[in-house]
Amino acid sequence: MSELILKKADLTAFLDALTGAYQVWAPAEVDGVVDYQPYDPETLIREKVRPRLSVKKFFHPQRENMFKYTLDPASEECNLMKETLPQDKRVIFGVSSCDARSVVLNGLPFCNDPTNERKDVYYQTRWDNTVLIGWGCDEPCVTCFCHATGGHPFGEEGLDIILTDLGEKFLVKVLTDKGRAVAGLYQLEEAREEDAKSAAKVAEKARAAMPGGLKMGQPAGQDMMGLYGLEELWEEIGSRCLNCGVCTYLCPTCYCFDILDEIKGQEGVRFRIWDACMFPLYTLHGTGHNPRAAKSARVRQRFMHKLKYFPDRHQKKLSCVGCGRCVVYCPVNIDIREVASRMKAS
Amino acid sequence: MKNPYLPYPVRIDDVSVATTDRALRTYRLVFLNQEDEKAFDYLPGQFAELSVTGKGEIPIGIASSPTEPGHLLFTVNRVGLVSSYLHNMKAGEIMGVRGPLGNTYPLDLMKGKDILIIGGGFAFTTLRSTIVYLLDPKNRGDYGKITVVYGAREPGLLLYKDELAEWDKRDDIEMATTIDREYPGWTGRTGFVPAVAKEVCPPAHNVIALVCGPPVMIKFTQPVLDEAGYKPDQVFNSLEMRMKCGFGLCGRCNIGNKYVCKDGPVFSQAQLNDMPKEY
Amino acid sequence: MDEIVLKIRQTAKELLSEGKVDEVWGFAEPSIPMGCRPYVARTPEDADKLWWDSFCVMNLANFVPRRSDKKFAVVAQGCVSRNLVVHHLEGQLDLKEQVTVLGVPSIGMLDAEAVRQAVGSVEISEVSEEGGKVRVKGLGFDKTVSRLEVMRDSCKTCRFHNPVVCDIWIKDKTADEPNKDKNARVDQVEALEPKERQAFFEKMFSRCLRCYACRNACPLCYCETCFVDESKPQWLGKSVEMSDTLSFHFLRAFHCAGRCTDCGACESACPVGIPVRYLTRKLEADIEAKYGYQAGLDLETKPPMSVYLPDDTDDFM
Repeated sequence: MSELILKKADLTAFLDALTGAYQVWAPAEVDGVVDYQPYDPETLIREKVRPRLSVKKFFHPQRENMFKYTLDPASEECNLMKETLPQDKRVIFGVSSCDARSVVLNGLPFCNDPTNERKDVYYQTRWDNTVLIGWGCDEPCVTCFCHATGGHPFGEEGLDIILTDLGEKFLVKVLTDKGRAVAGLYQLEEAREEDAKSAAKVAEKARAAMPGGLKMGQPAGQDMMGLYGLEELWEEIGSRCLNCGVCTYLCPTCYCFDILDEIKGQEGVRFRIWDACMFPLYTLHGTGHNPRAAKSARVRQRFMHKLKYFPDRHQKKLSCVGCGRCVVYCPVNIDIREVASRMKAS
Repeated sequence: MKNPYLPYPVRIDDVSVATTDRALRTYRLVFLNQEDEKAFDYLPGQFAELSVTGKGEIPIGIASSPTEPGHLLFTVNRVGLVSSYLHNMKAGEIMGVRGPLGNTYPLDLMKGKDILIIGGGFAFTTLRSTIVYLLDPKNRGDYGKITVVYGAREPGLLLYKDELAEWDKRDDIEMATTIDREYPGWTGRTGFVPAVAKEVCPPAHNVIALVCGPPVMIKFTQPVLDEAGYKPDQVFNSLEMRMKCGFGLCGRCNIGNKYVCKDGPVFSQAQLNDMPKEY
Repeated sequence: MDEIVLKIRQTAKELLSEGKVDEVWGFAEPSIPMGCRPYVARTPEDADKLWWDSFCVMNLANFVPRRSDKKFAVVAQGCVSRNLVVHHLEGQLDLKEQVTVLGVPSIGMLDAEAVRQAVGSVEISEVSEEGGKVRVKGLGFDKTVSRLEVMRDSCKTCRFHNPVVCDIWIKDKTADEPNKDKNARVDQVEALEPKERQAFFEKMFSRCLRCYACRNACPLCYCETCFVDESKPQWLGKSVEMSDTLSFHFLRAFHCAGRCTDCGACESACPVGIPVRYLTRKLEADIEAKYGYQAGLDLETKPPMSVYLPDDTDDFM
C-alpha cells in the first residue's frame, strides 16, 4: 500500500478533515490522566504517548448494550429482544502498535475462532467501523515489552495506517482499505524513497533499544498441570494481590465480561460489562460453591489464561501485548514479566 | 450476521412442580416461530440459556429429547435471581431460549455398547433426555443393555416419577431407583447411589458410563467404577459451572484450558484426569 | 543500604528465628521505580527480602491475617498502626497478644501519580531521594523536585506520624501534629453550591472504572460480601452509570465513617488518579466535629457509629 507524507504543522488540518465522516478520538489529558478523548485540536497531545486506558474500549466497551425490549404487556413485542448494534464510525488517532495488536488478538476468541461457529456481532461491527491510525513508538517505554510477546514497536498488525515520526513530518504508511479511505480525505503528498528509508531506520533503532532476555512465551510451551501446580508462586502472588480489577481493566487483552439486564419502568436493556477473573463473584455458583474461592486461585487464573490457556486455544499466541500498563499501575507491583519468568514447570 | 446472544422467543406451555420440596419446577416450552425450532437442533447432554427479560439468563440442561419434537423441557432449581423469578412465571408467558449450547453425551461412541447411567438428585435432566433418546424405537437397536442408577434423598425429590415407573415396567432397560434411607411408604430400593452402582453396574467390558450428580456423589461413585474395572475413557461426567455467554468467550467457566460451556459440559474421566480440579 | 531497611531486616530476622512471630508483614523491593510490593516474610531468610522506601504506600493492616491464631509483626507508620487498632476494636485481631508493631515514624510518603505529573511523563526509569529532594530520571529528562511537591495528600495533612502503638521502633520518633488543620478539601467542597458540588463529583468520578482497587486496598473494607456485590437483592447497578458509581463511592465512604484513618491507600491504589478521599475526609471531619473522635488512637474507644450512648448527638435525626 502507499506511503505518504504528513507535515506535523498540518496534523490538526488532517484530523479536522476526518471529522465529517468519522468520530475522531485522540489522546488528551484530563485531570492529569492521558486517555483517548474526542478529538479537540486545542488539547491534542502532539507527541507519542501511552494513554492510561487501551483501545479496548472502542471494540469492547466497558458497557455494551446488546438488546432492548419492552415489558409492557399491551405491546405486541412485549418480552421480545431487539438487537441494538453500535453504529458509530470512528477513527482513533495515535494508537500504539501493542494496542492495535490487541484488537487482533481479542478478535481470535470474539470472531475468528475456527472451532466456534458463533461470532460476536458487537465486536465485529465495531471492528468493521473503526479505523486505527497508529503512531510507532520511536522511544519504547521503560515498562514496555511488546517485542517479548510477538510484537514490535512499529508493528503493523491491527493498524490501518501507521505514522513514523521523522522530525518535522510523519511518514504515513497506509496499510488497509479502511486506512486508504481515511487518508484520501486529505491531500497528502507521496513519500520519497529516502523518507521510507529514514522511517525504517527509526523503527530499527526503537526495536534495538528494547531490553533483551525477556521470554514471555516460555510458559506457553510447558505442561499445563505443572504450571497450575506451582503452589508456592501462586500463594506468594496471591498473598499481596488485592483482587481488584486494575490489571484486567487496563489490560488491552483482558476481555472477560458479564451479561446483565436492567429495567427502567417498562423498558429493559440487556447489556454486557467488563468483568474480571479477580472478582470472587465471577465464578460463584448460585449454590454458593466457588471453584476459585481463594485469592491465589484467581491470580493463577489470570496468568494461566494469558500465558498458557489462551495460547493453547489460539495458535500459540499470548494474550498479552507487552504494553506495560499492568506493570505500572498494579497497586501491589505484581509484574507479569517476573511472573512469566517464574512460570517454569518443574 | 447471526447474533449468538439472541434468544429464540418461546411460550411457556406448561409448568409443573417437580419435587415435593417445591424447589424444582419443570417447564415445557414451545417455540413461537417454527423455523426457530428447526434451528434449535440438539442432542442429549446439551444445555441452553433460559432468558427472562429484566432478570437475565441461566444455563440449564435440556431435559427433553430431540425424539420428542414440538417442545423443550427444562427442570429448574430455584437458587438465584433468574430461577426465583422463573418459578413465579405461568403458562402462557413469553420467555427466551438460547442454544443449544455445549457438547453432547458421546452418542456415537456409545453405539453398540452397553450403557450405564448414574444420576443423583436433580442432576437427572440431561440423563432423562438421554434415556428417552436411547429408548426411542429409531435408536434403541443401536445400543446394548441399558442400566440406570438414580437416587435422591427421599422419594419426593426424585424427578420424572411417572416416567421412572414406566421405564421400570419395560424389559429393555434396567432401573435401579433408590433413596438414601428408609422412608414411610417407600417400598423400593434404599441406599446411596455409589453403593447401588456397585451392586448393579455391569462388568466393565464394552460399557460406557454416564455420570451426573452432586459433587459428593461423583466423588464416591468414581472409586466404585474404578474398582469395577471401568477405564477413564469409558466414564463421562457432566459438569456445572457459572456461565454467561455459553460459547467459550466471557471467560468464567473454564477449567484449565477447557471451557465447560463449549468443550463440555460432558467430559470423559480421562479428560478430567488431565485438568485442574477447579470445579 | 538504607538504615531503615537494614533495621527492618535485622528485627524481622530476630523475631522469626526466635520464633516470636510466624510472619513479618512488610514490603519487598519492587520491580519498577515507585512500585509498592507488600511482602510477608515467614523464615529468617525471607527477612533479607524486606524493603522500605517512600513509595511503600499500601496499608499493611489490609494484608495481615484477620481472625487467625497467627502471631505476626507488621511494619507500621502512624496510619497503619491506627488501622491495626481499628481491627483490634472490631475484633479482627488481638493487638496486644498477636501483633508486634515495628514502628516507622513517617516523614510523609510519596505519590507516584504526583511524581508522574511533576515530570510530565509516566515513563520513569529511576527515582532517588536525598534530603528533602526527589530526583526523577526517565526518557529524555532528569528532574529534581522537592519532597513536599510530590508527597501524598494524605501525608501532607497527616497529624499522627508516629505509630500510636509500637513494640519496636525502627527509627526515632518524630513530632506529631495533633492540631493540624486538615479540612482543606472539605472546605473546598462545602464552599460550592449544591449543583456545583454535584458537577464537581460527577467530573471526578466520571473516569471511575469500578475496578474496586480503592475498596480492596482499604483495611476497613473487609466485609465478606460488599453491598455493591450483593445480588439478592441487588442494591446497585453494576455498570459505569454515574448514579451507580457515585452511590458506590458515597456508600463506601459512609461505611468507613469513624473508622477511617485517612491512610490514603484508596487514592494510591486508584489506577486513574481519582482523589477518593474527598468523600472519606468529609465524614471524618463530621465525626470529629460531632463526636470528638478520631479513629484508631487508643485501644479502648470504639468507633462512634458502632456504639450507642444515651447522650449521642441526635441533631441529624
